[in-house]
Amino acid sequence: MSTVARYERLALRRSWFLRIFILLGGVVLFVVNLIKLTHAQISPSWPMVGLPALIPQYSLRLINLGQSVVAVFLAVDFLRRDQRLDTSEVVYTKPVSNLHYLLGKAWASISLFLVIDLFFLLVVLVFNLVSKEARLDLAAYLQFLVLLVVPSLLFVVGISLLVMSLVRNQAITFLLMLGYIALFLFYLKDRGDHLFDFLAFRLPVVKSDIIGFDQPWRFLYHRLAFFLAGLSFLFFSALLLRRLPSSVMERWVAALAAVILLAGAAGAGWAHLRVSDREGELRRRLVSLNDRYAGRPVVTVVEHEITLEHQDRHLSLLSRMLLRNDGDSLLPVLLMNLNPGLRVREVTDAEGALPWRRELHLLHITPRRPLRPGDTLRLCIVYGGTPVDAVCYPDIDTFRAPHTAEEYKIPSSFGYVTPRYVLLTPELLWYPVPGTTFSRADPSWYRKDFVRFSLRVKDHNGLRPVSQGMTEETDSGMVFRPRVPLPQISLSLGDYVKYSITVDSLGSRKRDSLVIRVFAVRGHDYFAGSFPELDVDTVRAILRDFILRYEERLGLHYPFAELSLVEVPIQFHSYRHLWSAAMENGQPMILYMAEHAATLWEADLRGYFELYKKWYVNWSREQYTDKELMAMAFGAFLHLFRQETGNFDFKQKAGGGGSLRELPNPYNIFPQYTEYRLFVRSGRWPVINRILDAYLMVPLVGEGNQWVRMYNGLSPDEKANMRLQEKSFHDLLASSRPDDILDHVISLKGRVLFLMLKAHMEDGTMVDTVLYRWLECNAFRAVDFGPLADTLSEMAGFSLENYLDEWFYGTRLPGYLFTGWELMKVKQEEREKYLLKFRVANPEGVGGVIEIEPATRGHVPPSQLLVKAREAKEVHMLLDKRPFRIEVNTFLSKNIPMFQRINMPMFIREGKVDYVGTRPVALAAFRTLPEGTLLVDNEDEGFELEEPGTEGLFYKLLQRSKEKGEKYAGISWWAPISWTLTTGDMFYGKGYVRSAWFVRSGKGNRKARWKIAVPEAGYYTVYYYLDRKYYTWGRVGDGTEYLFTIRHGEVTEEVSLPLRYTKAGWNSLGGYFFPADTAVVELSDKTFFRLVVADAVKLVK
Amino acid sequence: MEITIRGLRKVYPNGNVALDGIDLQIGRGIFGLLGPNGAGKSTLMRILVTLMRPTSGEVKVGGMDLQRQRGRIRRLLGYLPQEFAHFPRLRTYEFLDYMARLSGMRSGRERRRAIESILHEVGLFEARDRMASQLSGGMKRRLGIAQALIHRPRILIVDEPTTGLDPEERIRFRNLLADISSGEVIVILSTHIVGDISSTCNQMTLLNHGRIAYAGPPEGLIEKARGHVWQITVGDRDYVDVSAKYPVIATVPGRDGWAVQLVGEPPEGFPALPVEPNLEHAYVYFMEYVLQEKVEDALR
Repeated sequence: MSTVARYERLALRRSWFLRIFILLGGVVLFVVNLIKLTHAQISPSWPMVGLPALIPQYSLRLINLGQSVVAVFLAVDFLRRDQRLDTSEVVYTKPVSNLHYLLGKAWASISLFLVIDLFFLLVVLVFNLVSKEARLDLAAYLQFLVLLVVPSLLFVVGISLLVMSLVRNQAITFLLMLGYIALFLFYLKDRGDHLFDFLAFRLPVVKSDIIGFDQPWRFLYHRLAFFLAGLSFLFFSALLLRRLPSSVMERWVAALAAVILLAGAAGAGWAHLRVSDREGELRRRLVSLNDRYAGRPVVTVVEHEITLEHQDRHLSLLSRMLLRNDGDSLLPVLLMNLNPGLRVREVTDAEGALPWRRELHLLHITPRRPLRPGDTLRLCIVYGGTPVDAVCYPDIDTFRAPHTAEEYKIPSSFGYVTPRYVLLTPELLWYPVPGTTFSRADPSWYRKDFVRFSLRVKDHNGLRPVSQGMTEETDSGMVFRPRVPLPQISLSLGDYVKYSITVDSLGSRKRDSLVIRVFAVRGHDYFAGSFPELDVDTVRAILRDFILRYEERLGLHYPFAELSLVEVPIQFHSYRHLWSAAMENGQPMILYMAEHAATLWEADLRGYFELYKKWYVNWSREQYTDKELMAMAFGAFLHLFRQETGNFDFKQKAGGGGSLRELPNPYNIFPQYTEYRLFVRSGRWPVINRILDAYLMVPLVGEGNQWVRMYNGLSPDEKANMRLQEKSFHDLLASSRPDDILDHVISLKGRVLFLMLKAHMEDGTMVDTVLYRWLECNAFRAVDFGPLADTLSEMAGFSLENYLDEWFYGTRLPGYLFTGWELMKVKQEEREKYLLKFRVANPEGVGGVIEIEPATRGHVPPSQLLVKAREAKEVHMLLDKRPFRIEVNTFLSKNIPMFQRINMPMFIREGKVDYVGTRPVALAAFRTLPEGTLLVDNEDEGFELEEPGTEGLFYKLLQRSKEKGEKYAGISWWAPISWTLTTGDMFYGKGYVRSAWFVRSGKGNRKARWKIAVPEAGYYTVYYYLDRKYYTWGRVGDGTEYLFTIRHGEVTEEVSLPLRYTKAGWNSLGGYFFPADTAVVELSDKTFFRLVVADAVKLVK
Repeated sequence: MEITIRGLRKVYPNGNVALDGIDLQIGRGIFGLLGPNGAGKSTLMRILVTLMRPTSGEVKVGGMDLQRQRGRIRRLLGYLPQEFAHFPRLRTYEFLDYMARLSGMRSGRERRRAIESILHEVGLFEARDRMASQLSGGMKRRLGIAQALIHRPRILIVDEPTTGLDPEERIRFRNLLADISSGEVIVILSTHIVGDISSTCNQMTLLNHGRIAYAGPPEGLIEKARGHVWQITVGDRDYVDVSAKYPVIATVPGRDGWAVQLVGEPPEGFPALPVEPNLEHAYVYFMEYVLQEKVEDALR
């Protein structure tokens, strides 16, 4: 075999095809690494700087893909040559077995590619070494070569040879293999747990600088399966070789080996699938147990002293707890939850051992006597083991989905106990907590106690512990004692180096200073001393300014004395639960940051600095010093901590467009101010804590990303409204999987709840005053919502309790119609003011609240307006400054869009103030059109669309159906090829929905048609509704026009509307005589403009 | 060492009977295999070099069954196929080294010596560093011979070995074969060039339609033609009649017309001189008159 391999390799090396591959591969890698690792594009790839193992991994992924195609070609080529040429006959008569011959040929290809890959890696290594920022992980070069390339090469060579042996046609084999590669790359992707991905192209594998490869079985089985399968295929190919075997035994050996290897591959594949199956089984059992026991009365933990000993992959723990029965019923059994990987050894009280039993994660403890209301009990639990992270996020089915940093997929895990590192957060259930975890059956399972924790940590691996509270070094380990009761505690152990800075002069508050600490893993302190432009005082000043501004907007002070940023492995990931604004990355006084902040391009301060420098030097007249630019970069980094949302999840849709989802920001410091200072309990409305958080967050978030709305066709809040019309809030919480829309449902509900209160009060700011005072007075405890609700109800003269029932269990929403917008200049007390008039009606059976915010130079706080069920009123608002636009937010309503902008005219008349406030008007008037006006909107029956009946197969394949349940899509430059419905305030809407249909411009075979019944013959002017806002989607030149066909009686006329000269609103298409019949106005898709919009048409006599 | 073939049959999947019960005994020396196209020579060769499985029958090589001990028999073989023109991207000496290693020559020193020796023997020493694919046609043929001989096989099977060689090379090759066959080596030579057999083979077989038409020394076949080879002189007009009636072996123009050598009965109407038959005469006579087969013009 080695002889065959040696000479075949020699011959292959001289192949021009291979030489071209080496040259091209070298060039591609050179260019890629030049971009990624040098300052060719401002700065090196930040994730690669943070994770040195990514450097060889990225290149090897590219290499793997390219060389698989080449390997297919070379592998099938040798069999083809063997078949055709007599020279192979002289080899076939040699005393070499078929197996050795074929394996030799295969090994020649594989070994040659491996040598070439080493050369490629050398190119990468040079860039790695030359780069000032990137660190070197030499072991990763070889590790990924073995992990990614070896199994892939073996598999692709093996399967190519096997297919060629069966098909015996090079071209067909090549096509089949390329087809397979394309199939899994573009279609199968990660289906079946990446079982088809022999290249590991999408397999989430990452090597952390802190813990190396986490849970390696997640990819080792996968690679082993392809390795063994590839070997097996080689043996099968040897069996199929068209050469008489040297001996009978040889065939049997090859056959046996092939079968055993294939069985091994199947076994490895099965083991790979079983990993997630087993996890799924565990989680189903967990939730099922939770559903059984949720809602049972539980104890309150008053004190909890934890002693932890860490050795290698094992934890030994002791929990001493003071428990109290705060309920009003007897507790014969105490229910707690604890990670099933931590086995309980003993449960004792002051008198001795207590009986207990375990059900997966649940621990049932029977006290000596049932605990009466008010009784306390001191308990001691001894437990230990290795926690399993499959118990985390039982409410999120896709919890193992990889998260991303740029284009890199990172496997998600949630806790670590390794010799070099430990991370334990409450989601891991690493200490006993009363009650169950997530249950769909009863949302009241969610509760928090504020506990006096203390944590004693002893580590046998020389690691430094980091947790909440004051620290004390003792002989038996480091002790942590938080100064205040906390709802949870976390712990990390690593080779940390501590840095700290104290920010003082934080204004009038309980604590004037804040200590900010950074615990970075040794060697990851890129931030220390790397920014000479910024001195410590400047950093301090920037931090101070950030904190003060944030707290001014939020209205709350940071409740703790310190905040630590602690570095954790890149694999650590967290999700936001429905019931909480906090994510696991944010613990009380601690923010766990991905190692080297590799997933946060905001942390690339040097990169930002270079970017700003380029911007301001090249594009702006403003000049900044390096210090100012670096301060801006640092400011951009700090901005990360105040954002509610972070990344976006983008999904491409076939036929055009896509969908965009905003992902919650795990580094948001907001929960430090709310979630970790107070927990609001309510048995009747269990999600009230979250609702409160959502309301408190409003000053920070604004109206959200409008461009996200434009991309999706609907904003998340509007999607939330649509869901609320199908199911009540209670049912949505009980039955839905968490997603960003449900987040918005909660946020919207919270906002409206408090706006309702404000709308009922003359001075709505009192609600906030009471709320914030209540928060300050009830720090670090769990309180009932009842008293607060009573206070607010009394203030507003409005029963919050009654409202909450409809709010929680109802599906009705108000709907608002607006008309009569007018702005006048008026004089009051010799001062020039402005009177804004408009009419609003709510024809629905339930009332609601809207917000009107005039946009002026200088901020004018919005006004809330209550509109009761079946009410219509005229509103007069007196403003000090002239608004150029009015922004209306209809919140929880049937209105789409929810947020509308009404531009005020440039020229306004002068008038007088007749009244300020509201007056009722007739509801009926809102639904009728002016006399002589006939209107057909795209939502009406008289509107239809025409599309070609059959498209080519290509287009049919492109036209996948829209996302399930999505009626609307986003309007964008990439217009779809068939008519698509969208919404926006740029469109006309007779009712609550302002929508239109749009499509990419074509050749005239798509049409929109309005059929308008004309009751009385006469001359009518035809108008088409058009707003210029969407002209951003295309160029409008002189010749750009929409083509209409107007049928009036027997006459058909073609009319064009030049888009350059249209105005926002109704545009005339000319006057015509219409008999008492049906008028037809048709719009063609034939235009030079990028897209065609079909909205509303009216006839005015 | 002997090759014993008993009742060898080969029927192809399309029903074509390529070999129909061959019995042969091949001992040391040079054994020639002669026959027209489609006689079954290549099939027999391919079975003997273990490239093809017979339908039935038995072949033993040195007492070893060809079907059961293929691996061991392959160690004894050297083979030069008819088409030997396409090589992997290897230099001449690399190719020989490859073949030598595959043949079981493990010692590098031994291989180097063997390669040097064989290169000299086949006249390729000067071209040892040239890429094998860049050799001329004759040189490629010599390389083929070299690879078949490099490991000093006990059984050498060559198919049309002298095709493409010039006369000097051809003589050299025959001498080479003669040298080889003087040891305990079996050489089986399949060729269309009757002269190769006559000058080198001590035994031969004539195959026709998958059967042995003649087996024995070349002299035996020649003897059969004795008294049946004639030379006549004819004019232009008679030449056409004569060549249509009788198998003409050679035609030499002379002053008095065409001196025509033919086999068979003396032609009527022409004074015929008896000619001492050679193997070519014998072959044609045997095919035309004994087997009643029309010999291809190409053989003449």
